[in-house]
Order: sequence, then structure tokens, then C-alpha cells
Amino acid sequence: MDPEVTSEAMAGDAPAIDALVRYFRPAVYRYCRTQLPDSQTAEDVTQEVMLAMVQALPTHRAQAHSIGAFVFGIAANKVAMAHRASYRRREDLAHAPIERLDPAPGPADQVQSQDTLNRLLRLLDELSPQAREVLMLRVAAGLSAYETGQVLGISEGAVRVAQHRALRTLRENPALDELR
Amino acid sequence: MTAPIAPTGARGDSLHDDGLIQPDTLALSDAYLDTVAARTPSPGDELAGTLTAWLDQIDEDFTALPAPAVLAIALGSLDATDLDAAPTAPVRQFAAGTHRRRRMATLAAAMAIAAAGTGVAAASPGSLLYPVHQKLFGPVAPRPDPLDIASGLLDRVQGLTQAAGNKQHIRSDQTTAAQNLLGQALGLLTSAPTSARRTALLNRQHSLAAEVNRLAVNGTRNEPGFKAPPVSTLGVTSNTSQHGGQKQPLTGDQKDLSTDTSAGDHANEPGVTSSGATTDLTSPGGADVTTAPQGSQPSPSADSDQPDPN
Repeated sequence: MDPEVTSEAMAGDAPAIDALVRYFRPAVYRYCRTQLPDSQTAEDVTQEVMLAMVQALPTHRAQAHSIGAFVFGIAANKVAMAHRASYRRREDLAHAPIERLDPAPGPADQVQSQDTLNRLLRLLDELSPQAREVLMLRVAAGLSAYETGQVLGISEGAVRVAQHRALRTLRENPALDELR
Repeated sequence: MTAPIAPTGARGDSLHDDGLIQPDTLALSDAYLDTVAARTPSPGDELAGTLTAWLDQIDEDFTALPAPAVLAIALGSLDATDLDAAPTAPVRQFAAGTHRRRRMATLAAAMAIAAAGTGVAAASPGSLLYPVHQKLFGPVAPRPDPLDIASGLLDRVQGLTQAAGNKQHIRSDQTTAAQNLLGQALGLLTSAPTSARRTALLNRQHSLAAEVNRLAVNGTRNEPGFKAPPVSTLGVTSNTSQHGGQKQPLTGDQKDLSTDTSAGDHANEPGVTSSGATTDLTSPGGADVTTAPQGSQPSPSADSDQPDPN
């Protein structure tokens, strides 16, 4: 993200804020969708994240955190709040099966691809919440290890170690062979 | 030579379980994730390929979702034409006017409910809301008429005097009971609105008070050290009987009873009975209210519709 646009958005410039929203919204949705079981909840949380971001922009300290870490820090908090709210509603989002991809009728290879994705989701379900969050911030949100550390409040080295172990856990899982 | 990196951080406790990891290994993992995030996985890497396919699928879902028109409105960066062009999105924010209207509507509804409840609770027979009142609160027993109560009290006094009349005297405890009943009846009658029946009952109360007084004097005059008790014709302690006939000015409803209340005064004199003390009160209904002579039955009640207590 262009630092100049970020600065203008922090100053309250509407077009800059709009540009910021358009830039981050897909990535925030992607991150939320990997952490939440259905697309509707992910969309709701994404919208909350965007509104919170716009409201908090004037208080953002660009020197302390990158804008990406700032936005996904909000997103991580909102996802955690969604999990807590679901707990109060006696739902368990953390352990609910993630909504599988639409098994639309089509060619055989499309069905096979769908099956492969579902196996991947089962693999990811076996990771610890922290390891999964690190991976999704790196892959789905597109943050660097440094930014991921800022979001989670840990060092860059800890992020690198955590992501390494998460990958190793996935690769050592016998279910990975089913993806091949 | 690069030193191995030891895991650190606030949430890194679980990272200490398998010793040190070489930085090159960590860098490889970092680069691997960068390629996945960039959607450029190595050919043949099923894990990276599947992760990339999953993220692509999420992106396709996202583009199918409606544009965030509400968010743009909140930002103030969307004009009317954009709003018309934007697909419908779920509305989650309300304008300030909407909130105000909702508050006003809620307040108005609460006031209407309170007013209706008050109206129903206060509904009396004949009003439109009385059927609702009856439905909610059930049939309400009519409040007893004070005149009916007073009439009942006077009936009880009449019963006492009738029982004692045969002996021409009344016991002191009966005197006290009769005076209490007469006092209660007088209190009810004085607080009741003026009516013909009230006047008749006041006259009856007066007659019974005189009768009780007469019987009480007869009962006590034969006792040693007899002294006339201060019996009031009104059922309460009276000035007239204690001051030798010097009557105090009557006020209010007592003026309605401006008849000869001197039965007690005469009774204090030896040999004088109230047999001749006819009050000659005529009720508005035309019934004569007369103090009965000794030995006779009490006079017919002016409130002749009351049942005989005996």
C-alpha cells in the first residue's frame, strides 16, 4: 500500500480512505473466511473490520505498526469477538466444520478438486489455533513474518518458527498423501 | 556463520519443544509461504497447489458478494449515482433520523399503553372500557352503602333494647355495647350524603339512644351508690346529660337532630321516666318515630325495610 495514500487516509481524506478500503477488503475477507465457518459471518466481520479501521485511522501510528499489521490486528480481534459471541450463543465456531466448497455438478475433475480442497481443510483443522492463525495471516492476508508478529504480539523469529512447524506438521500428516 | 534462531515471544512457549532450528530452514519455509501467498506455487507441490486453489475459491466467493454500499455511505465517499448503481447490501447502520424516529415511536407506544391501562383500571360501570375492566379485574363487589351498615348497627341496638325491654333495664356491659354501636352508626350517618333515608336513620338512632339511656338508668338506679351514667342520646358522651340540661350548641348534622334530647335529663330525676318523652319525629317517608313507653315494644323502625334482627 502506498504510504502516501495511508497518510492521506489518516488525515481524513475520503478518496484515500475509500482506496484503503478497496485495497484491504478482499484480503480481510479472505483471512476472515479462513477463520470462520461460513461466508456470511466472514462478510459481516469483514464489514465490521472496515468500519473499525476507518474509525481508528486517525489514531493509527504509522511508525509503530505497518498499515497491514494495523488492519489485520483489528481483523484478528474481530474474529476472536465473533468466536466469543458464538460461544455465548452456544455455537462453537472454532470447532464447527468449515463450510465446504459448493459441490456444484460438473466434470469429474471438478469433483475431484472439490474433494481435494475438503481434505486440505481437514488437514488445517488439525493444526493448533495459533499455528493456523500464523499460516493464514501469512498466506491468506499476505502479511510478512514481521507484520504477522506485530498482529499477534510476538517476534518475527517466533513467527518464522511457528510457520515452519505448522508446515512440517502438515507435511508429516499421512492425510497429505490423499492430496496427491 | 549464522546463529540458530531460538523461538521467542509472548505466545512462544509451545515453540520450545524441539530445540533449535537452523535459520536457513526457517528462511526456506518463509519463502515457501511467500510463494503460496503470491499464488505461484511450485509445480508438483500438492500442498501449495491445494492452498492456492482454496484461496482462489474464497476470492471467487468474495467477488460474488454485494459491494459494501453501506460502508461507502459511512465513509461519505459514495454519491447518489453510486448508490443507485450499487447492488443491494444488507443494511446494518441506521441514519440518526431513523434512530430518533424509533425512539419517538417507542415512547409514544409506551405512553399509549400506560394511558390505556389507566383508563381500563379506572373504568366504571357505563363507560366503554368497563367490559375490558371486568375482563381483566373480574366482577367487582359493590361497595356497601354506609346507610345500610348504619341501619344494621341500629338493628343490633334495637335487638339489645328489645331483649332488655322486658326487664325494663339493661346491664352495664350491654349499655356500653349499645353506645358503641350507636356511636358507629352516628359516625356513618354524619359522613353520608344528605338524603331522606339518612334523615330517617338519624332519627332512629336518636330514638334508640334515648331508649338505651332510659334502660341504663333503670338498671343502675337500684344499685348502691347509684349515680346516673353520662349517656348520650347520640350514642357518645354528651354534654346535655351532664350539665343539668344546659345544652351545648349543636353543630352540623347534630342540628338535624334538634329534637328533645332531654330523656336522660329527666331520667336523672327520681320517678321520672321517659314514658312521656315522645319525640314525635316524623320521617320524610311519613313514618312516625316515637319512643315507646316502658314495657312496650320498641317503636317501628323508620328504616322499615330492614329485617328484624330477631
